[in-house]
Amino acid sequence: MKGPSIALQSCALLFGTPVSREEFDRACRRVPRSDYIAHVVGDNPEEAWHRNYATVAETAQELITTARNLGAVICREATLSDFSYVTAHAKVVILLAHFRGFDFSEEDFLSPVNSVVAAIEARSHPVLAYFDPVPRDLSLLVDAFNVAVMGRKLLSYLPSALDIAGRNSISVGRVLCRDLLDEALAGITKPGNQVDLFDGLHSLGAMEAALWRGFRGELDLALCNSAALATYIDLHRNNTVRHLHWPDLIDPIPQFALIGETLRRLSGRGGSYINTRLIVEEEMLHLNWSSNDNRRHP
Amino acid sequence: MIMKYQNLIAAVLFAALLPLPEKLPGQTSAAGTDEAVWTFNPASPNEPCPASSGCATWLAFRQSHPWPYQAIALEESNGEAVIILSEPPPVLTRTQYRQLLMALFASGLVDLTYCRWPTGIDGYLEDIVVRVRDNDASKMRFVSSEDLETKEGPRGIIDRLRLLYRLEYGTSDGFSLESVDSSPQNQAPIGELKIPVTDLVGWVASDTGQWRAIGNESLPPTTMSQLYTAKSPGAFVDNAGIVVLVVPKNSRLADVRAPFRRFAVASDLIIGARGSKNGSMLLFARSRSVPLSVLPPLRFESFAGFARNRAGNIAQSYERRRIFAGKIQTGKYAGWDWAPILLSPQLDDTEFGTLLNFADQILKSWSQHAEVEYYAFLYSSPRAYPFGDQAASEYFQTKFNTTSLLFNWNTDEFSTINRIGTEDYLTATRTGALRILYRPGDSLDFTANDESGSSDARTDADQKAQEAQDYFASLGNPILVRVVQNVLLYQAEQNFLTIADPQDQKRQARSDLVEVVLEQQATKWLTAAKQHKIMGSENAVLVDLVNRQLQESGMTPSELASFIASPQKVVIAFERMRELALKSARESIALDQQAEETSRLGKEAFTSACASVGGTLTKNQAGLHCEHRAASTGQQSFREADLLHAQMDEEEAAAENAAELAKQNELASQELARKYVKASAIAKTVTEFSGAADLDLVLAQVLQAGAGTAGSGFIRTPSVVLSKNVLDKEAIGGHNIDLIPRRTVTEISHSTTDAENHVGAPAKSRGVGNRTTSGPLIDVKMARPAEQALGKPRLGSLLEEMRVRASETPASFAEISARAKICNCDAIVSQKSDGTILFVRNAPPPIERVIFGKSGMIDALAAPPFMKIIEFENFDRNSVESLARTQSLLNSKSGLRASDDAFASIGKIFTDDGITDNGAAEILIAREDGEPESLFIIGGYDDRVSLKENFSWHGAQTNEASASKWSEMFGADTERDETLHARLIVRFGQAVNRQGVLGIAADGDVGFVSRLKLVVNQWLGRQPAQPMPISDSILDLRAAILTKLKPNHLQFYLKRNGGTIRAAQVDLPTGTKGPHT
Repeated sequence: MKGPSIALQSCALLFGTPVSREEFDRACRRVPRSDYIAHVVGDNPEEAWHRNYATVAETAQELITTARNLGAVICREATLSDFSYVTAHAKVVILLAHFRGFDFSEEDFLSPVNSVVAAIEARSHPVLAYFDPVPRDLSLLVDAFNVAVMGRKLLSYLPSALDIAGRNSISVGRVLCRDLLDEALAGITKPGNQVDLFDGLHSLGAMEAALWRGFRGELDLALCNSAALATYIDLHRNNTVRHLHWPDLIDPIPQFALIGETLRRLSGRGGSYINTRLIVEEEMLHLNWSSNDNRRHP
Repeated sequence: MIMKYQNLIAAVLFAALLPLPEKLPGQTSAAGTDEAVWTFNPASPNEPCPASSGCATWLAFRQSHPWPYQAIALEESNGEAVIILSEPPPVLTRTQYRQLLMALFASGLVDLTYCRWPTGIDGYLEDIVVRVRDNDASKMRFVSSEDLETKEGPRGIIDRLRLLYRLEYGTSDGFSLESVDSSPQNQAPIGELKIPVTDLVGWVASDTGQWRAIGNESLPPTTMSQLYTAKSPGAFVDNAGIVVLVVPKNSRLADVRAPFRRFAVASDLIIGARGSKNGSMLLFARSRSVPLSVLPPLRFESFAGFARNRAGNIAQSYERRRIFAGKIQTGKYAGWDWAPILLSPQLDDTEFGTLLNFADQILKSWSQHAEVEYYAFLYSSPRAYPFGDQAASEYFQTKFNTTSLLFNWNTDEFSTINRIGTEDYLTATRTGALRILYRPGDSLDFTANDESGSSDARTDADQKAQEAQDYFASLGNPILVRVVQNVLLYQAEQNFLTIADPQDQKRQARSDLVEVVLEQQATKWLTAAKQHKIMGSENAVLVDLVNRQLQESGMTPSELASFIASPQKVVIAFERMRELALKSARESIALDQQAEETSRLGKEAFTSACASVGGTLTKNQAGLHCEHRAASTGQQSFREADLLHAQMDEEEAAAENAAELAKQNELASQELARKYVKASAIAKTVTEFSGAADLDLVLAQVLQAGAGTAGSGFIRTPSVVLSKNVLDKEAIGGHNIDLIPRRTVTEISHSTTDAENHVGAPAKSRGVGNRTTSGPLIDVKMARPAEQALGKPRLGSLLEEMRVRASETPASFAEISARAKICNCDAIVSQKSDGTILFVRNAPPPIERVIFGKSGMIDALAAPPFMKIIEFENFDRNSVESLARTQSLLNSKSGLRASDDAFASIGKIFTDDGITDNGAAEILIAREDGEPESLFIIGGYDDRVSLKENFSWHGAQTNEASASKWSEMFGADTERDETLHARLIVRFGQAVNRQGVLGIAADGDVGFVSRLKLVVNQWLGRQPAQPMPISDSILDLRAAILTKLKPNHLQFYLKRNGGTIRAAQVDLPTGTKGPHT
């Protein structure tokens, strides 16, 4: 499986989440807050930092030090244009970012609950018929939406090919259900399924469009539920982009550590980033190293 | 449905050859044509239309589209329909169109009228308006030009119009109909694009291989490199929203017609062009975002006209300074100012020529706060004007006390041709409007303006011109946008297109005919003045004045007449010379700067070389000098410096040449200006005096001169413009379009990432000894994402993307299903060339399914029931491996057993558990005539070699290979396997296009290699002449060797295209067939 070794100068890491106290504070001060910060920090940034984010940042710093020492390019507080730039200039691109997923929260409703209820009852989109009766209370409404999305209850409203694809994949199925509700309630809900970078949320289409057209390297989509982005890229690029993706939530701390180890091995032995990363993952699996508690999913 | 009308086509073609049939009832002929024509009179807009025609419907249509507009519009009610063919393409004459429509609709044709929408006093846009009766109640769907959605319409009419469309455009692709009441004026402005060369080159360089043929979607996608070498014209589109028209060298225009139509319908804005070294032209445009009803497709007649009428520049202007131009005192047009229109001959009676008239008026009228009115040019006014509440002339008068203003649309620094390597790229600064020039002055004596030293006024005017260009471009006005499109099209063709068709014969412009009339009138009039004869209503005192000036100038009446018949030509010639001078001056400066840079590099190289030979560097009058004692080989160190020095000399010489050219053009323009100054003093008096002549009569003669030149098409450009100017200011101008843009030689930089600053600066690189660059380096990787640059944002949800895929033509499973039935596998996953993945599972239950992206394979294959043998077709091994291992990992993490699904099982092959001791992976070879067998591919899989390729064994040569020969052929590491000492090399006959080699290595006793050779040769003798799949052949050969020689170890080495794969035999345990890639 040995391939040609890559120079780590051709490897770029993009951090779409804060990796230091300064960046964390800056992100917390930003108005409006990013989806990630709103999700992780809540009302008390100081407490959130000490509770768990300091460890995330510390691990990220270790990765940055490792990567920089090995000659990789580091891009912090990454934006969409950074993604565009590095995919044009690097052969291996590791995107570490937050994915605003498919589950609903109360903040996702842009209109008062009465308006939302009225919009659903207007049945302007076939999928809205699913909600019958329509809950009148916001929290109940959120629950109903999440049941529909997480349980992939809305797939039958899609063409059969999409229905099957959604049933075969939990992640894709949920993404499709969320997209369907966002479509039905356009302007009433904030759309989900977007990548959160420092310049804001970006649709899968925007991410794919920003990926350099000539990119023929390896792309590690180290973000939660990246199967959706990977599928989008596959469809638009006719399966020509080689990527690593994950259909579930991922914990940043083991991710950072595994990527660091991957880069170290790559620097010493060369070969394919994705293959090396998979070997590292497989070894870690044998060691039962990964932890399931205290997840901070990006 | 087209088939239904095959006989109709024949009837139509036959009908076209027949003599002109009887006229339809109720129609009268118009002068100059045998057909009935009705012309809208803007002076009397309520004049009733002919009652029997669809004229009222046509009027409504034209009021919404008062500018050049080619379309087929339809209004239908109560079993009758009005069809409007606006400015139909001139592939047929009026008579032929009439015959065609009569043949198409036969007894259903109620009425046919030719309706003209005037553009100026003697110009028009002509449409065919047809009323038809349709008794067929059945409906069929068609595409609407307004929103590209499908609508329903009467089948009988739609089918016939589709046939008509096919005859007009050479293809039925892009057929759409417009509703009569569509109003593009209510549509959003056309968004502007600014596509620098970096973007275009970047998109082209990142050859994604996804160009799909428009109109022939069944063809596999092609790469940009293939498009460069295409042998026939074609139109293609890629995923990012770029459309390209490919016209190979020496194409016939007839062959370009249909592809051009496809290109024009599929795109809206040209963004650039490329001229390749092999003589092909590639025209790039954005895939259509603007409705057809707002920006109709570019016309093939324009494309063909540009191709057959090459020119360095073209022009359009209103010749207000020609003699007799001025206010008409009496008659039908009393109160209007008239002026002849100058238009380059190839633009007479064309869409582009008419557009230039409209654009000229828009610039002048709107710059002047709409205080200039033009006769019979109808278009709506904007909400605001470029100079606010002021007119431009008032602005400059207030600020600089000027009394005249020159307006100009031009192409100065509008577009550029960048030479990059051996290819040329044409790009423009923007798509919304051409460049504008304002030149305020004390008079229209442009030389006075030029020498007045009022640099403040000039600087301010340039600033205002830039602002005005931004203003006009922001309007998204279809006329201005269309002018830009035609300019780019003409420039691309002028510079890059080579066709097989001959050039049109040079023809006289209509404005030249007008000039002749004016010159004759002027000569006559001046001669009379010289002889103190009074003609018409001239004042005797003025005649004396003219006579005196004529004598002072020393000119004859005919010499002066020649000048005053078209003084604006002198202005244009002057501006042209000045432009050339400026262009050369800019080039000279750029080359000088380049030479300085080269000199600096040369000095550095010389200093470095001197140091490398241990020399001493001194400086003298001749420059740097290096004293050293190095041998002659030391001179090699100075080679780079010498080359740079030679290059600097070249650049300096080129700079001098450019400077000299600039000087010559400047001198020539000054000489012309001096002559002009002398002549204009007389001309001013004469022209003012001529206003007293009988202008009605002159105008009538001018119109008559132009009338005889009507073309056979459906557009006539006016020869005269009538205007009313509220402001008493002198104003002239028009279009000055250079078809040969500024050229720049540019290099592509190879930028690198920067470890510290993530946005790395492009690294400047230059080749020693090459022709120098004068343009900035281009970093193609800085090209913006095409969707972003082209203003085609996608909502970009997965749902949206998957819906699009699901709605595309259902994939054909038949072939794969047939293969799956005999593959002895559980399923086949096959990737088509466009990336579509087809999944066919045999049983149970059998399914055929499209998989959404390779990522979706995990889900599709992981679903029950568990499959053991899956054949992957056209997949990169790495992709399958990554997916399989990912799935294996995920299963393990989630507590699933690794063998719980097919993918996890496949993944095991690639993990430690699945890899055999020698690191082999297994390849399934499925043969049509037998059980599938397996080989281990040992070592890395080499993409350059394919086991699916066909090889011919005919004429193959077998040779025993020594260790060194073997090592040379297959690599030293293979030679070290001492157990396999019997080695044969089989050289194939010609493969598809290159030769390949098969190595056979086996163990055995002394003499084994001879027996091996014998078996192989016997086997070769049995092989058919035609090429066979190499996989089948290897298995067959292996079986022959195993049967006869029974070696313990046998390996095959296949070498092709510089790559090698190594396959070893494997004995599978009985009854098991492992999973396969």
